[in-house]
Amino acid sequence: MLAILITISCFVLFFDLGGRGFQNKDYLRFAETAREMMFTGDYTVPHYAGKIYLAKPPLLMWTIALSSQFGGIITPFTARIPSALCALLSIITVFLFGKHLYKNPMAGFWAGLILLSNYMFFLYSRTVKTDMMLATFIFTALYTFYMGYTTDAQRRRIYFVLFYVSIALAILTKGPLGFILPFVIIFIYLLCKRELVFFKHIHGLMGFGILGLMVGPWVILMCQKIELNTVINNAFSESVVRYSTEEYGHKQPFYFFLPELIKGFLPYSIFFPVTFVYLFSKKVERIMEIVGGSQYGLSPSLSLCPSRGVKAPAISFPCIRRWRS
Amino acid sequence: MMGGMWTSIFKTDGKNVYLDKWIKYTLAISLAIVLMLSVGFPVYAFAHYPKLFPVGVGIGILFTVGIAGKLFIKRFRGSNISFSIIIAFFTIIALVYMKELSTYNYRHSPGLDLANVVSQHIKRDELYYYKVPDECLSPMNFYMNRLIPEIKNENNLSEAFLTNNTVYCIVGKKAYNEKNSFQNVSHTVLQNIRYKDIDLILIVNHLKTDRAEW
Repeated sequence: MLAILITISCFVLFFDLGGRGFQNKDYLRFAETAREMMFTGDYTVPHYAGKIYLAKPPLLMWTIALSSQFGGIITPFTARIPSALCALLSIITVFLFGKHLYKNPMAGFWAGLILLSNYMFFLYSRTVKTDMMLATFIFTALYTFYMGYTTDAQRRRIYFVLFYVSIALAILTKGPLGFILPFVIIFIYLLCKRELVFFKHIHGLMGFGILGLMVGPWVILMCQKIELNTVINNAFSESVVRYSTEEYGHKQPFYFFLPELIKGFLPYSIFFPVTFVYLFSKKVERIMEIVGGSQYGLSPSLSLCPSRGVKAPAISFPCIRRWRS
Repeated sequence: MMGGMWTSIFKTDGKNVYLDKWIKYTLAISLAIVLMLSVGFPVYAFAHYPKLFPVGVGIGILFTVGIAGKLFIKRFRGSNISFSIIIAFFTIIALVYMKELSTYNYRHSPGLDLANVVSQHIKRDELYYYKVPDECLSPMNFYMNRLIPEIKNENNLSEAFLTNNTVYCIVGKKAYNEKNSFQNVSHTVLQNIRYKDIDLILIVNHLKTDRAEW
């Protein structure tokens, strides 16, 4: 099943990948920053139009430069290879996650196909932006965390090594957001499960070590070239200021995101009403359970744990999977 | 193909599946919309984009493989492939979208046009920029594969232009008209260039005027 899924994904992700130029629903910025790295030989401090560019950490630019090394020139195809490969990794992870959760490879197969045919995922998998890379590393972090959470103590260490590697790569892709976002999700999940005590078992010290080894050298090398304050201010402004002020032109009223959400999840946003009805019915059952009327033990976190007594309707599984991811 | 899905919603007796009546009805409405879109989109797409024949062939291969898998592989014989067909339909739409973007781009790439216009004058000579927005500068840097240095002030300008080499400079038209900097430096306007809604001027330190409106 995985081989079929990978074959289909490769066709969809890599078909005519370089056909579109950079200035068409894409960002020339990252390709240009990677080109300047190759041109100047300075892979530590990214430059854009000759000026220091710290809006994003350099992982995407490094990978673009790496995929362009063979030809010696950055083309739309070579610049989009990292995003497409990350999309492929996401699909494989979804397959493994679905297979593990539902003990059935078909569930993983459908989930992978649905993710692949999702409009926004598909679009971002073929553009030179950091979003696909960030989404992939956050998703692999969540997957490895869940596997570590549900497995025995011996295997847990291996999963947590992969978890921290994913976090480190997410940080190198988009800064502190790559750390904040997965940990907020994990915190809420453990809070819902009433198992916050699990934070004691996440091998924090090892995590700091891995993050230090993977992110530290770049930060140290960069700080040797530019001031530490500049780096910190930039990371703060990219991770916090841009989401809370109008400085970057991103501030929108709350209702702006509703049509964006629907558009982003097309065509599966058609199943939103079903999902909400399903979730609402589960909520009613949960209340009934608390009152003492339901025989079903429902997990409060629908996102990662299916209920024991009631099976999710097979047909709405994929849309729910998409909705929560 | 929708029949199987419809049956799976409304006939759940004997299966380990529980569906609330509200879920059934909303799911049924969603499926009806999916069916309409699944039929409507491909018809619209292939009617409007006849150049998408190769894409159609690709999707056709997927269909054939899927159906052959259902017919010939014992394991898949009992499975319902209707949802995969719907997914394939929507994948066509995504491909149509991407292909249309590609076609658009072949006709229109302003950054590449700008770089080509500047390149035909410059060759491997020195080129500077003065008061040019990054939006214009980065496509020139990228497509010309160089790092164009900035002239920051009048002193820089005099130093750069008072040499025996041929030196070019691309200047924002607004800055060129406003500043007196260029009056003190001997130069020739080579070409007016328009990039999107920004006007630029390409000047050279010593060359005969070759005015050509672009």
